[in-house]
Amino acid sequence: MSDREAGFREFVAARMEPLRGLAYLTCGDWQVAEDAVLSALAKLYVKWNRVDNPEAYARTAVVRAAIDETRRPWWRREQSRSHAMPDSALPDDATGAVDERLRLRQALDGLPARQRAILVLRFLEGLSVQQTATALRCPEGTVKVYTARGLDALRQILGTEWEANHEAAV
Amino acid sequence: MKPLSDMLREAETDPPPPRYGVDDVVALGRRRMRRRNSVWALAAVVAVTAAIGVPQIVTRRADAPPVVTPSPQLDPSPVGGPSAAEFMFTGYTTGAFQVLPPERWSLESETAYIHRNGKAVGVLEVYHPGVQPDRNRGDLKRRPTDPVGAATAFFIDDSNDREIQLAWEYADGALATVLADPRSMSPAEMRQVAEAFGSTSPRPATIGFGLSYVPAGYHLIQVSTGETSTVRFQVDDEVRARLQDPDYEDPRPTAEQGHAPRGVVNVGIGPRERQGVEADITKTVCEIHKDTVTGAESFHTCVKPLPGGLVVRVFGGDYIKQQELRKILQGLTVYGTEKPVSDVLPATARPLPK
Repeated sequence: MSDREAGFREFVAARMEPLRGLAYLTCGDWQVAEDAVLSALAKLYVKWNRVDNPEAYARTAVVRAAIDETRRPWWRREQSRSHAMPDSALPDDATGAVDERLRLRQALDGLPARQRAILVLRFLEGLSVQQTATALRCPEGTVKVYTARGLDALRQILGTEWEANHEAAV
Repeated sequence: MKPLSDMLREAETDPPPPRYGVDDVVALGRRRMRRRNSVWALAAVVAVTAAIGVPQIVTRRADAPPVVTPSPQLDPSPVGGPSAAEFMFTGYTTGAFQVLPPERWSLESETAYIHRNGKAVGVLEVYHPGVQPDRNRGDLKRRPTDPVGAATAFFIDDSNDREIQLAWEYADGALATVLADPRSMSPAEMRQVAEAFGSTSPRPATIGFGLSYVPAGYHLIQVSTGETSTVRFQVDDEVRARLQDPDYEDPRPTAEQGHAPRGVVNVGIGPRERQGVEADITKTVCEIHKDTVTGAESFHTCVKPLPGGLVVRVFGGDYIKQQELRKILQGLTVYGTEKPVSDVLPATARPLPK
């Protein structure tokens, strides 16, 4: 095995699972998330020696792939939602942590894909406005506006029993 | 009061067991690299053979010695690319399955979705004569199976995909495939859909809008309808390179350079969200997108609002300037009904025959 491939394997082994979670929060479906991660990392393999910051590249590629998957008018999504969270109607007996997770998932599902990605990148991955704008190829102003709109939307659905712990939660 | 970051972390807990591991990623990466190398080699050889006037097709895999004779899979007779955007079949019903009318025409194929109980369960892809979708894919294997009717049939196996693909020769040198997840359609059910297929007299592809301007040298390569209506053009050199390729795929690496394949102009009308436009817009907005890795200009987009919450989005890669995209938008007319593509596009933009 070449040093190149050994380095790549090490990176994938360490980062695949967090990237899967990142993709899941972006698209809301574990299988679609996995497909997005597989596709993004395969692209990274091709250009492994040319990428200065594999972590940032992988994160960007995974989020973009996950957004693309949510936009694809494809039967593939329709028939692969076995691990997706319920689209509506929370179970009556859902309580505690599970209830909270379902509510957050439902709240995220109600946001446009890019808005959801911005919240995930900013509040889960801790990226700055500038880093998020670069990752999603959009103006910084868009990131700020979408952050504010996304947080407002979450407040409307989840109430106020949480805080946006980020310096730039505009 | 709980931080949002903690809530997000909790939301991604309890994942199902992963379907892929490091080996799967590396295997797919290797395939991508091999494919990229082989298509570059093919493009170079095609250019050389074209220059010296030798009518031969040469393919090469990175891990195999060069092949210098035509493959037995290839039809040696010259098969032309389609000269018009016309569908060769229409929707049909067989048992519990409904094959919807085709909603996508492209240089290489026509696509229709297969429904059962109103839900999409598979895809019928009817390739134009001469196109061999698996020809350049060393990672795909043909597995013979019983004929479909009297036609030769085989499964196309891709160890990376969970879908299975049944292919059969619906006419001389012309393949069709049914692609489905085995959880949605059994091989016997795929065969049922295949056996009920029949071609019809050509029927023009239609769209609900027209363009009075398409840049010179660009030719139609794709039409799709549905929630979003799209026409796609590609510059003639790239189209000619495609037509030399047995699967008509774009023979240059593209996805690595951004979302716009080389020399492509795409015009699509649909709901704002489907067009990737999150914010309300009141006037035409144009943007330049850059590759985040190389920083190079990747592609241009222009988006214009239309009545009824629709937008038209035009994008073009590499060769096209933003000014050209604006001219395309200026020449756009939205009709109340769908019209044949050949009636609503400039004659110069018609498909480029082989």
